[in-house]
Amino acid sequence: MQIELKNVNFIYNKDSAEQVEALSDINLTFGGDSFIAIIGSTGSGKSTLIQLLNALQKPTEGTILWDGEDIYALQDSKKRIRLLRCSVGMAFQYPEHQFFETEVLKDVSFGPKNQGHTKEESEELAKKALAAVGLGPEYYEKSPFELSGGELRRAGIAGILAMEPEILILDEPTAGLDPQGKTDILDELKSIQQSRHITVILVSHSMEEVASYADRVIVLSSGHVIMDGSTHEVFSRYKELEEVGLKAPEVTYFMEELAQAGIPVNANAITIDEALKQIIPLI
Amino acid sequence: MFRDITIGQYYPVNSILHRLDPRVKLLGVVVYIAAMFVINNVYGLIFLGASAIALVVMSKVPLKYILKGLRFVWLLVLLAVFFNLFFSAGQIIWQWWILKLTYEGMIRAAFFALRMIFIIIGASMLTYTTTPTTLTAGMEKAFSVLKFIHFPAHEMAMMLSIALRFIPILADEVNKIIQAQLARGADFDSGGIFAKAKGMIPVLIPLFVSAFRRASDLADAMESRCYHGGEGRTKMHPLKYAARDKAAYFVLLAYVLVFVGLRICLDMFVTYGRM
Repeated sequence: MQIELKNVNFIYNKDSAEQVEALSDINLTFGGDSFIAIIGSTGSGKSTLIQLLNALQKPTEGTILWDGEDIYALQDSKKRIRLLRCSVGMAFQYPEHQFFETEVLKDVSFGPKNQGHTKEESEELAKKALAAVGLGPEYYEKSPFELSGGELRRAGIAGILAMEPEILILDEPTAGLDPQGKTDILDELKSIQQSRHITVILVSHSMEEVASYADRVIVLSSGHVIMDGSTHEVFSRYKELEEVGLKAPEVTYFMEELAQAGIPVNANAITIDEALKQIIPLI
Repeated sequence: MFRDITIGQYYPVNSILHRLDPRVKLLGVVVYIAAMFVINNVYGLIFLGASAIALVVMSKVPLKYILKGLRFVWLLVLLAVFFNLFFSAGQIIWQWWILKLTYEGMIRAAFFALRMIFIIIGASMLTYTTTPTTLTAGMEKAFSVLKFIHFPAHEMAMMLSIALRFIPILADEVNKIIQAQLARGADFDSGGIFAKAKGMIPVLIPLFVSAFRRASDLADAMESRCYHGGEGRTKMHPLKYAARDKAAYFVLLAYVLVFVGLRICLDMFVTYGRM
């Protein structure tokens, strides 16, 4: 699936005293087999942008095309929006907002059931999704309230994965998790993205995460897209990133200092592995 | 869906009503609501309506904001109007099936609707013009007249003001939960009334869970700052009456006299003749 945003503006509380322009003149295309990160300081419009992608919010101006179709202009737009939300899955930051069943498996199969799958099919999809996020059969009958924070987060993502979306959007899926939990979830997401050939869109505040997992980065600043390019491209412009309250990964700064100290390395490394590749031959 | 709830919230401007002592305002609300039930004629209703408008003007709270607060009670008002309109005994104007539109019903419905709207506007003037802290202090004082039956005045006041404070937070939470379930393909719009009620379960359960979690977090936060209830607690800004508060008490007294007067007048009117 391909999502195309054309000259999209979004204004909260339009025509009232508390009018806030959250996004202005956004032109972006999402889709294909890619892992996209959206970064930006708080209040830059990231959350609004991802809500537009699965029609939880309607743009104030401009058009959004889903596979070339402007859903809001269709006659049966209500029904189509519901279908759309199934192919553009969105995992919110706090999965505890979505659990209401007594058992994890039942809850995860809520999405597929809404898509019209039978109970058996839904549970099959739910089991597959739970396995993909590393939750085995021992979790099926647990109450969601017995799970730890990290397990809950995974079960929440499984609830979206079970719907087999073509585009998966995640709003800070690793916030508040321990380091191991963070890498686990991101590794799982990366492997899901590569094996299912879907688009994963990740909102994150951790530049290290973005550097190691994303292949395209979109930078938002007060409602504008200020950069959109490959991960290396974007982080090579870290001086500009700093101006909007962001940073390059720590390792880039480390390499830059080495370079300034006269050691023959290049500051374009954004992950530890890349840095090691340059440093080890020197030792 | 539940965006910007205004009812029960504080509106920060500086007006004479904002500066009044919370105890005066509390008594004022009690008097106003009592008046609503004592009054039973048109003159009284006009008088109460006029005083509601006067309060709104004095408070400097925008009318638009106040009307927004009424949004959630429209349904209640409409329901009451419906039953009064069609199920009152009296002179029948129009009849269909079990619905009887009567002259008396029309008057009663109008009375009822206005009464309800005025009560809500009058009562929300209290919360619009009083910060949660002073409101709590005021309620605590007001409740403390019941101390002799060991009524937990401070605790009750604290609970009430926390409840008010949590309205917008929970409304926000409802929005987030609805979005999370919509993202999983939940359908809140189609189906009959039972399907719709069942469709609300995925919203209500997470809401309850999060309300309990928030309550427990809040309790922890309060305890970690050594909150231990009202016993031996002192205030940074103890409530003190100013001259304007005393004046306001006199206005209230006058107010009571006027509406009692209006009621008596009408009763005499009825006793000596028409209507």
